[in-house]
Order: sequence, then C-alpha cells, then structure tokens
Amino acid sequence: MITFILRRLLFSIPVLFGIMLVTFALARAIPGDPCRAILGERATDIICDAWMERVGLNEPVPVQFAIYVGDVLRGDLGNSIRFGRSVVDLMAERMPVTVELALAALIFATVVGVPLGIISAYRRNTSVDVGTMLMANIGVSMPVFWLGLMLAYIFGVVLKDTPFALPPSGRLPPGMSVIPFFEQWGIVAEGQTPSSLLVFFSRLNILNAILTLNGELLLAALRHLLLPAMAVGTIPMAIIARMTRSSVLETLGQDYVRTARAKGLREMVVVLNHAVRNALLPVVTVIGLNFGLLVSGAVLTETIFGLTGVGRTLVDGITSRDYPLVQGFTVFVAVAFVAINLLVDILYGYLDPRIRLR
Amino acid sequence: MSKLLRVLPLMLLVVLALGLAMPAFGQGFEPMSVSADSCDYGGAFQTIEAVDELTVRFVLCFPDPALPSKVAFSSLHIQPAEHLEATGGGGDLVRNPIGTGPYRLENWDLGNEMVFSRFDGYWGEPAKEPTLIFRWNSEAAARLVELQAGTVDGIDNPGPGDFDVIANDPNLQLLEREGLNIFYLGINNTVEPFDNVLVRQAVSYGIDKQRIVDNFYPPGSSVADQFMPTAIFGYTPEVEQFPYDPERARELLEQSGVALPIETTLSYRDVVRGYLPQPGVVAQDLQAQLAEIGINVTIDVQESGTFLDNADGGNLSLHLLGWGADYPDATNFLDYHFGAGSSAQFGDKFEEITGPLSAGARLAAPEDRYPFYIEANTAIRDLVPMVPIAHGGSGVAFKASIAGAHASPLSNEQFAVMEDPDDDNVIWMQNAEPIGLYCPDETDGESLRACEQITEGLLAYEVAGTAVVPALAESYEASDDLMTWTFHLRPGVSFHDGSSLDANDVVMSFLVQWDAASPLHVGRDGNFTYFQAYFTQFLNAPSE
Amino acid sequence: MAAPDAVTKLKADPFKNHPRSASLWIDALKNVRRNRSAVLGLTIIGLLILIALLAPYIAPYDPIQSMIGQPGHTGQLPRKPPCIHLLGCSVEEPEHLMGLDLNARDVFSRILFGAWNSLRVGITSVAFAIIVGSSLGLVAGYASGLVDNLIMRVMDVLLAFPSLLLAIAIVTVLGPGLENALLAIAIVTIPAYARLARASVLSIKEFDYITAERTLGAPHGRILFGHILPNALTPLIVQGTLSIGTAVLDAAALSFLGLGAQPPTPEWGAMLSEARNYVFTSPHLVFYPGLAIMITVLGFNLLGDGLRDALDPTLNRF
Repeated sequence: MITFILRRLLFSIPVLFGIMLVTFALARAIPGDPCRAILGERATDIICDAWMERVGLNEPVPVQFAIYVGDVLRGDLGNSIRFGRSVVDLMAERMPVTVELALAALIFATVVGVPLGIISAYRRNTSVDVGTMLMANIGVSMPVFWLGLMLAYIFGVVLKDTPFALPPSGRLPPGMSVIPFFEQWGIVAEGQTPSSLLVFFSRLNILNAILTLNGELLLAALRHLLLPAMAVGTIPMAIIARMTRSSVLETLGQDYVRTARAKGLREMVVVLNHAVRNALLPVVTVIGLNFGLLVSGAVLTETIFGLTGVGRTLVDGITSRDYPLVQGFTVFVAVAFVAINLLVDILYGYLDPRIRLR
Repeated sequence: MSKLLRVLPLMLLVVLALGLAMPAFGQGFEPMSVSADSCDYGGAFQTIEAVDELTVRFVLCFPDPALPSKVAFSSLHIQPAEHLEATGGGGDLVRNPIGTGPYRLENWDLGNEMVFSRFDGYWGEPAKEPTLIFRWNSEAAARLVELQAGTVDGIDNPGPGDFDVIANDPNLQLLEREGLNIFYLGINNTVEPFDNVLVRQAVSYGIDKQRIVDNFYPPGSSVADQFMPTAIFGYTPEVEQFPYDPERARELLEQSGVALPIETTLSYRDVVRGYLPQPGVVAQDLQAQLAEIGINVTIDVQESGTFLDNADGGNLSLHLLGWGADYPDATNFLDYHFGAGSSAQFGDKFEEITGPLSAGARLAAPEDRYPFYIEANTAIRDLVPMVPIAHGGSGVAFKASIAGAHASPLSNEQFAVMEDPDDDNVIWMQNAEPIGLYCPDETDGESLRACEQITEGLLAYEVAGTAVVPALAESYEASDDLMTWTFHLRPGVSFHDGSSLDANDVVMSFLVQWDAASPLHVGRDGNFTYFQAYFTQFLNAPSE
Repeated sequence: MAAPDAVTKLKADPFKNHPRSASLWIDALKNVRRNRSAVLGLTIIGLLILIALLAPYIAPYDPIQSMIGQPGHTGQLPRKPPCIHLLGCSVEEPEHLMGLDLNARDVFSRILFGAWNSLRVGITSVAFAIIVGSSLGLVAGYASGLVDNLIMRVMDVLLAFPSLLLAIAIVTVLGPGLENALLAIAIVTIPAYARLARASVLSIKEFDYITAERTLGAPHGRILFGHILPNALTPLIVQGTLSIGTAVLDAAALSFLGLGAQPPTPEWGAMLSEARNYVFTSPHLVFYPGLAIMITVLGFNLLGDGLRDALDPTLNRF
C-alpha cells in the first residue's frame, strides 16, 4: 500500500513539473506587455527596463522558469497585478466560495444520483427506468450556464412570494455579519493577521457557521448555495445515476448475488446488501473524475450567481492579463486535480481488495 | 543645574498654556510649501503652500475659473499626511482610506460587499443610519430582482426596459438622473485608414443616432449633436452637426481613395454606465450600421481596466466610451478629451482644437470664453476625433420608504442623508465593485462613489446637484487674475483615525499627486489620470 | 474481462478477410438499428444536419438583419416577445416564432443558422482530436519505452487541467473566435483518444498474427494502420460520438464567456450570453438557444450510448 502511494507520488512529479511548464508558457504566450500591464501604459522604456531587471524578466526564459519553479516550491505565487496583493491571500479568500460550491454540488449529485441509479437498475426496463435514464441523458446534455439561468428565473422570479423562493445571487444576505471562528474562539486576536489557512476555513460559510454555532448564518448560507449547487451538480448527478445503474446491473448478474437469491433472501435485501455495496466501487471513481466537471461548472456558474470564486477570478484575471494571478490559480487547481485523482485511486484500492496495488 | 530645574517647570507651564490656547503653536506646526522652479514644466500649479495651520494657498501658472469645481471632485479629497506617508502612497492606502466624511470604511469583504459605519466625530450633520452597505451586480435584471425582493434598499441604473415597471410599482421610487454625459464612438487618427479625415467624416455621416437612442436607451435620453451636454457651459447650438446621411458617407469613402470595404476593430468594455446602458447591443447595432456604408468591424470586448488603459494609450482604433460630468464646465468634457494634456485616446492632437480650448480655459467671464468653444466644437465636428452619439438618461431606484433618496447628476449619491425607517442600514447595489479606494488614482464611477462617502475635499457638490458648496474649507477667495486661490479650512475637523485636519494634510494630498518624483507618487497603478487631466502636467514628470 | 474481449477483437479484424467479419459489421448495424436510443439520436442528428444545411432556405429572415426600419415592423422592437399567428398573434404583425433579440433580429432564424456553427465545431474538433490523439496513442503503444513515456506524460499533463480552464487559456493565447475555440477544444480532447488508442494497441499487439506479421518483416506503418487501427476503431467511434456532445457544450461555454463566436455570428452560446441579463424579463431569449444546445448534445449522447451497446458485444448482456 505504502509503496503504491510512494510510486504514485513519484509518478506525479513529472506531471507537476509539466503543469508548471504549461502554465508558465501559456502565461508568457498571452499577448500583451507585462511591464505596461503592471506599471500602466505610460511607463517609459527606461522605467520598463529597470522594472524588468528588478523582477527578473530580462533573464533568459529558462532561467525565468527556474526562478518561477523555485518560487512555487517555496509557496510564493507572487502578487496579483490587478489587486496588488499576494496571490496566496487572494486564494485563501476566494477558494472557499468554489470549494463550498463544488462540495455542495458533489453531495447533491451523489445523494440524488446514487438512489436514482439503484431504483433504475432494480426496476430495469420499466417505465421508471426508462424515465429516469431519459432524465439522466437530458441532465448530461444541459449547458450548465443555461441551467443556472433557468433555475435563477424559476426560483427567483416565478416562485417569488412562495415558500420555495430562493435568492438568485450572492453568498449571504447583505450586511449579514460573519464572525470568523478563529476570532470567536480567540485563537487570533482582532487586528492581528490570521494565517491564510485560517482565513480559508473561516470563509467556508457553512463550516464557519457550524463552528461558531450560528444557526441563522447556516440557514442563510445554505439557501444561497442551493441554486448554484443544483446547477453545477446536475451533470455529475446524471453521470453518477447512469454509472450506478450499470454497475448495479452488472453485480446483480454475479454468482454470489444469485446465491443470495437462491438462499431465499428478500429481493430488496439482496439488492441493497450484496449488489449495491459492490456496485458503489466504480461510482467512487466517477465521483473523483468529476472534479474537472465541477471546476468547469463553477467557472460558468459563479458568473451567473454573482459569486466571486476561483472560476470568476481566473476568467477576470485572464481578460485583464494578470499573469501571476492566472499562473498561481491554474497551478493550484491543476495540483489539486492531480491530488484528488491520487486520492481516488488510493480510496479505490482500499475499498476493493481485488485490485492489486502495484 | 539648579537654575534649570527651577526654570523647567515654568517653561513647561508656559508651553502647556500656549498649547491649550493656540494649538497651532503648541504642536509645532511647520507649514509645508512646495513650488515649481518655473511654470515651464507645463502644469497648472506654481506653488502649493500651507500659509498657517488652517490656510492653504494655490498659486497657478494660468487662470483657472473651474478650480473650485475641480477641488470638490473626489480625486482631490484630503487624507492625513501621516497616513499617506505610512502607507508609502500606495498598498494599504488603496484598501484603507482615512477621510473626514460621514461614513468610515468598516470592512471591505473583497468580492462580496463593502460595509461603512457612521463616523461619530463628523463635523457636519451625522449620517442618518449607522450602517451603509455597498453591494454590486453587473446584471440590471438581477439588481431589480434584489430590490423587489427587498434585500437591497436602492439600485443604480435599472435596465432601460424596466423604467416603467419601477414607476408603476407603489413600493418603489424611480429617480431619473439627468444625462449630464456623452456616449461617443472614438476614432484613433493614427490608425489607418482613419488617418484620413474623409474616412472619419464618413463614419460621422454613417451613424443613425436617432435609431440607437430610440431603441436602446431609456426614456429621458437624447441624441448627442456635440460632445457637450446641452445643460453645461460649452454647449454651442450654433455649431450644426453632420446629419445622418449614408449616401454622403459612401461618397466620402469613395473620395478618400481608401480600399473598400474597410476592415477594422471596434472595442468596448462590457460595463453598464448611464451613458451606455446596453454596451453589447449598441456595439452590434453600430457594427450593422457601419457595414451598410462599407466598414466591416470586428467586435472586441475587453476587460474594463485593460480597455481604459488601451484607450488612453492610443492602442485602439474604433472604440465605444463615454463620459459623465465630474463638474459642470466645458473644461471637464473638452479639455479632458481633446486638450493639450489629454491622452492619446484619439491619436494625434489637433492645433485647431487644443488652441481654442486652452484659450477658453484661461478666461473667467463666460461671454469671453464662449467664442472659443464655438471654435473648438466646430473643429471637433470637422476633424472628427470621435462621433458623439447619445446623452444617456439613466436613473436610480429606491424602496418607496427610503427618505432622502436622490439621484445625483454627477453620479455621486450621498447616502448619509438617506434614512431607512424599516431598519438601521441603507443597502445600495451598484453595477460593479470599486477597484480601489484611493480615488486620486481611480477613474471609474463605482470607486468614486464609494470614496465620496468616506473622504471629503476642500469644497463639495451639493446633494443631488452640481453647485459647489463649502466642505473642509469654510470659504475661499481668488485674486482678480484667478491665479492665486486661498482656502480657509474649517477648524476642529477630525479624521477617522482621530487626528485633526490641518493645512499640511491638504498640501500633502495634492503634492503626492502633483510631484511625479515624490516617493509617495505611487497610487494603485500610478496614473493619477484625473490630476493630469485637470492640471495638464505633473511636476518632475518623467521624460518620455 | 480481457479474454472474451480479445476474442471478439480478433474476430473483427477485417484484414483476415474472414467471412464472419463482414457479417459482424452488418450485425453491428442491425444492432444499431434495433437500439432505440441510437435510432432516436440518429434522427435528432439527421434533422439537425438538415437544418444546418438548409438554414439559408428555410429561415424566414436574415439572421444578422436588424428588423429596425424593416417593412411591417413598427414600435419598440428589441426584446419583442414571440409573435405566432397560429397562437392568436395578429396577422397584421410580422411573424417571429421565437421573438426578436436585443438587436431586433429574428431569434428563430438565428437558431436555425446556429445549428451549422455548433455542428461544425463539434464534429471538426472531435475529428481533429481523434486523428491526432489516436495517432499519438498508436505510436506510443506500438513503440513503447521512451517514446511511449514521453507522449503519455505530456498527455497526463494536459489531463491534469480541468478541460474548460485549459481551453479558456488556449483561446486567450490564440485570440477569441470560433476557429480558435474549435482548436482549443480539439487540443483538450486529444489526451482521451491517445489513452484509448494506446490501450487498444497494447491489448492487440502481442497477438500471434501481429507477431507473425512483424517477423515476416512487414513495415511498421502497415502493421499499425492496416491491422491495429481497425481493431481499435470501435471504442474510438463510440467515444468520439459521445465527445461531440461535450465539444458542443464546451464551444457554447466558450462563446458564453465571450471567447468563442464573435458578434454578429449566430451561435447558441453567444446568443445565451447576450441575453443573460434579460432572463428575468425576457426569458424566451435565453430559453430557446439553451434548448437548442440541449437537444443537439442529447442527440449525440443517445447515439453514442446506442453505438456502444450495439458495437461492443461484451456489453450486450442486459
């Protein structure tokens, strides 16, 4: 097991190196002059040359890349041009929006998708099955941003003044004061700068609400999260439902299930105890693989629901030629992607002893 | 030694007494004074000095009748000298302004909202509500939904199609904002084929402005026949505009000898402003109109900041931009765009335009100035650095219950006078998040409006109007030649950090902008666009 | 799993000119015809292709012509709701089945013309990705060793980015536009085919007949493209059909972000993007383009699922 993890970690080193190379190259390839992007259009050539020398942009490109890799390894992602602040700080502020959204979407996808798949398999070839699978097919085919807009329209306008109305934008109602848990707990005194990690966790509204036992905040955060999470989660939900269905169907044909049936166990018990347990293994993989979908979905959904998360920051950063921001965020997302895939692999091996971990 | 011991308490007593009686001497006030060696550097200021603790004097290089209007503008608001020094003129300054206004910045939750709290030590009438909240959403429809849902108390720029909806809703009030603005199609004369004046004139003849105003602007908007809005000094009805005449446009293009069709780019930013309520739609309609006369444009949407930088840098060929009045005078419109100190936005400058503009700006009497503006407006029409299209009417909407709700023609609504009977805050939703709160180095209305709540200038604009009223200066006087201006500061004004206002704060706030060589001349991006536009040139400006 | 798979692959090798092989393809076709979802998908796609080709003849209006100042059109035109004569809209008024957009253009005509753009991007980008990706995969799997490692690590790096983000970055570098969006989508799709093709090669290349060919001195190219590729085709076709749907979605997403089709091109994603501010007041402007995208993607997904079931006998157990 440990050798397997070590091997996988070792294998991800060239990939991580490649990720840095690609982001570095892409950022350099985006048209535009970095000096004038940072110092303003009026910067003269003399000022620009001096600046280029100071930040090391006059070095040969390979040397620049080496410096960049060194900085990243030390956890220094530079300063955003547009905001004039450290990229790490910005990430600590904005990542929570996306993480919360992605997790909520994932939970929605799993909680709805898995039961749908099981029911569909159990009742295969009935109208329930056909209907569910058609819905799943439609779900996979919907543009995320369209679904988001339609949900906002239905819950924000059509259902206005009913109990089902949901806020179509923002994370919290205006002016709702949020006391970060580290302040309430007195870990960090007011006025002191908390570490990025603490900021990150405190800005996960739901976590913070639970940690500070703030029911009002929890409810408000959940209500605001629901629509975007549904929009982002629908495609993964449909995929999970389909995957669960075929996986359950496959195990239903296996010998041990037949044996269980032969023993005269009730059908429901057979399905739930024997088939489903084994069928869920591939589902774990699918959930892991959907990380990319979640991030892509978040990029589009954040714009619609007025959320300032990673996706929106990144897209804004690209349009405003904020190289350090784009580089930093992309590297981070890609590394997270690799890490999650690794985690899924390990989890998969752990859950299924049949798979030999090499 | 013993003598010293005896004298010391006495001396201390004297100092203390003096200190209590005359704070100016007690705190050892050393008046700052900065002068340019000569006026050859091309800027407007000769000297900026603190005469005494509560008196500031500006000596100009040429007469400026608009100075009071200018010093009321948010880019010339006053912050404590110590704060400017402590922040190095940038960095923290951009997110943590210290002013004297009725509200102070409580918390800027970046990306989400900005919370202001009432400043209890305010010298004037305190803010009606203890809390003011700024939120933002770029979608007009979403803003209206929030207002209707009651989550916000007021919104900026409702969509053009929604004016009727608001007017007919008894729970809401619609306040129309006078169109003291201009929306134009900028043309860069350094880009081929627009270096040819016939081509630029063809563009001017080829645009059906009426169609744009009728279809894409809210009620209260009007077709622009020149760059100046009709209500502001400098508008000259004598200068007749080129009519819409596509035939004539095609003829001019023929005459110009330029190969047709012309292929070019039309840039804009997707930001809603009073002068341009539907950027993308208007851009596409112009694209269709220009195609009719043989100019094929590719539409290029840019991020707001990038777009403004590119426009100022002269990197765009055709572009859509607009201007809203900061203060009601021709200089704010014409000099900023076409004067000697203007940016490279429209390419090379024309002597025919800069000449009358600088002449008109140095005279005091309107009747003396007027002929120069006829001359300038005629030259602008004929040389076509841009095509004026519309004066956009816009509006704000509030809950009907909000008392003191108003729309400012300068877009600087003052929330301190608004009262919400339902709760103890006012929640305002505007189009976008402020970029920074050090307003000397900001240009967008979203940032400036936030600054207006926090900081104050020597003078101010009246609430919901354009007239200049006293603020940090109780009074001012100018010499007859309009070259020397003296401002008398209000005593007992304190900043949000508890320090009190003196003349050096004023000098410092101006100096960091004026002197390009100052270590504090930093800002957010260091452009100080407004200062350069108002006063032509920085002191010690880096040579190009 | 591996054994029955290999057997069917073996049977399917057309090079052997085995009498069974032709009938296997016919069987597959029959399977496709019997598969309900494949038939439904095929019908949808067929209709869309017809619409795309015939749009200039069946669209009632020029998709980029503003109705302002056009005969019969009066009053405030932008965002005018649908006028359908059958549903009681006055016959005096010009008919606009899906209303007019913000620039007073006929939405129905734009939807019809948009079909061409979406299909073009979907099909060409995937075709490009299949050609490049599977060539890379074939070479990697066949050559093994250093070449294999090099190619596959590069693919791993590309796969490490969420595909939409990478596509956004690529389009930013290339400049916005439908062609560049097409290229970006193709690039981010390549790794999937490289992996798929490589896996097929690995499962086939050790079989006796390949080894025999090699010992007989057949050129690498002939072995690769004459013997191995045909065996790897089935999964490539299935995956290809499915990813056309994804490509259509990605193209719409890029256009939604302003990086794809440029105005005034009628493109569904761009139409959605332009009208998104008006979802609360003119929902029809947002509804129809989204529906069009959904139906298109659904068509390819249904066909892909059907093809998988029909072409891969190992999946035919249920």
